[in-house]
Amino acid sequence: MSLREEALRSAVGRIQNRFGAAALQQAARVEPAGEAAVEACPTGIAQVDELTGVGGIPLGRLSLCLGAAGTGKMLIGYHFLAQASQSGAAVAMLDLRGHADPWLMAQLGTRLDRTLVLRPRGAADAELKTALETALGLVRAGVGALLADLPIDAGQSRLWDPFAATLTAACAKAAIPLLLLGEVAGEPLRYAASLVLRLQRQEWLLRHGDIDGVRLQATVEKNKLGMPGRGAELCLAYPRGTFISPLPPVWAAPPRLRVLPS
Amino acid sequence: MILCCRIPDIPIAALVLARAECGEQLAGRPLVVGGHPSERKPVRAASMEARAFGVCAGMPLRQAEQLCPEALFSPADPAAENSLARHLLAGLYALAPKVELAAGGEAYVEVDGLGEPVAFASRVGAYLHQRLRSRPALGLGSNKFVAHIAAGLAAGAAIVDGELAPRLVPCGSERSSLAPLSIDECLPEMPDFCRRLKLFGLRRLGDLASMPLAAVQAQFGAEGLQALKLARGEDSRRLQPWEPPQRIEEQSRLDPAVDNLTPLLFVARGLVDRLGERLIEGGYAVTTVRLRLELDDSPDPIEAQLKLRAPMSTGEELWTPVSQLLQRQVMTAPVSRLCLRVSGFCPAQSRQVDLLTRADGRLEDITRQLHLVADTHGSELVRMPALAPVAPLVDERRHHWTDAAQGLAVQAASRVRRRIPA
Repeated sequence: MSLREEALRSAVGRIQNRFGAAALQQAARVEPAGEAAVEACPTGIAQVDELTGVGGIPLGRLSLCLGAAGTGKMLIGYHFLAQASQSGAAVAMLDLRGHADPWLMAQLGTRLDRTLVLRPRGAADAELKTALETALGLVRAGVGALLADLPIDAGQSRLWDPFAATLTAACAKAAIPLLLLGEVAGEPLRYAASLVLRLQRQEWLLRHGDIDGVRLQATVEKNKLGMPGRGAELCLAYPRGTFISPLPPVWAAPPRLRVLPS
Repeated sequence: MILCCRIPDIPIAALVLARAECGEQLAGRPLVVGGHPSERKPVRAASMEARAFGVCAGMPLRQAEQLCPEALFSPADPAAENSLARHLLAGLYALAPKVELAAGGEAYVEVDGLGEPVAFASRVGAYLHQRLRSRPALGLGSNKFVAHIAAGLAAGAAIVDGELAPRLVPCGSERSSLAPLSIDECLPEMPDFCRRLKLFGLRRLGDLASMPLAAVQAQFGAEGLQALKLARGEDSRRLQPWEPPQRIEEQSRLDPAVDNLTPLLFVARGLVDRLGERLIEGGYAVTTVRLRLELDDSPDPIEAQLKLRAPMSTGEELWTPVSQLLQRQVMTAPVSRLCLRVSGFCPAQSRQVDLLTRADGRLEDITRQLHLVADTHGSELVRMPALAPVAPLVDERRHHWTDAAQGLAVQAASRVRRRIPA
């Protein structure tokens, strides 16, 4: 054993004596990921699933997807609903902005006969509270996933102080994914969230002078289940709202052809 | 042993009782219920005296008037008839657990295990006499047909001490007791069959009973076979017992009377919890909640009823509609008694959950929750989208919103239907 290794072992021993055995461990001794793995509901968008570190929106946790208008939050939500509605009894969407588009949801693969849409009459605190209580009841009754589309005011409402924890606990008990979409989120929501995904628009993609899509930058601001700070580039092609590879095929280089051996 | 009580038809009895309250005695008069003879309506019921003239239920009132011009015609009163039938059945049910009110003014009571049959029949007769103010004819037999015939024989017997004595046909002697009776009178519901028997020279039940079974079946088919068995005193028809409507009730007396909603809700919560425990014990779900508030210094209580959208089986589920029902009431005086009653019983769990299908039982739970939401906040809060069959050009018309609870309930029902053939 070299002098350097001996010094390292001594330092590790001192840290473990002072802060406990679990404070510092060798990577090889860490429990395999399968035992503590968190199940997730995939969104169907490979880049987003990879960013989260668990393969999608984690079950039993509160996830946030933030971004300005026109950054594709709703499309990520619809893709998530489409995947979740394929299994389970029903999925619920809390549509506080009243912008839900069932036609687009159906185009993206959502089973509408299993989709419940909560549409309160307004976005005031009273209506928000009613909607959140209803959503809580549906989660406890057994819906398979919950998606909430929040206006700016609702994201910063004081009501989230008790409801964020209550809703997260109910989702954890039912082991269902909960995804909130909004432009901004207040402290209670950010604190309760296990995953915060930020979407930013990079540039418009033009074809013949017309807007044909948008290039987005997705960043993980907070992640309790994986590494935060990761980023990825997404391209959103209009008008169907399908996410494609960072470089759309029209701009990508043609594939190289090779002759297969006979 | 079956007891048959021949009482007047319920519409006739209701008419007689209603007129008796006004001091008019109609007993012994031909009565026809259904309307005035000038109306184009059928006869609803006719008394025995009117039937003797050939009047029967279903014939036009004008024809009934031609057959029996001296009959008293009266319009029907369905509410009074239902009330009388319910009271009669409840009274008979208090005497015997198995009672049946048959059409044509007959009540059947199973008297096995209720003491000496003739003495019990006398008690039933006394009750009916007191209730209907007419003497019922009582017949006892081993089955419904024999009891029916015995009651018919008792009706023609002499009145002793102001009562018609019950007629008993002992077990084992049914065939000999029925043998001398006319086929026409005993089987009036088979007129064609009786006419054909008369052509063969068979006029009494004893003649028919002595015929070989195979020969009667070959000649008259299933109808002949049935008549032959009846003639021999064999009747396989079972009594169809009436069961009183179930209800569970919890009440609390408030002393001193309460004039504030908060303590009233507190008491109501306790009553709802007790109701829930009783529902869970019995495995019931209920569809109707009835609230009754007795006010201090006021003879008229406040009564309210709520029909639930979906059956509820626990106190937790019942609390929301009950609290809303209570908060909706306008109380003008302090409340001295609070009473909650649930009815409309059905099994708490209507479907066996498939353990091999993931999340199979959740559909009903979500539907129940949606009903609850609809009760509380209206049915427009949670909707289910549906696409238009043909996509129009205007975006807003590509979809419409449907009732979410109804949509999920249809899916749950379709799951049940799919599973039945398996």
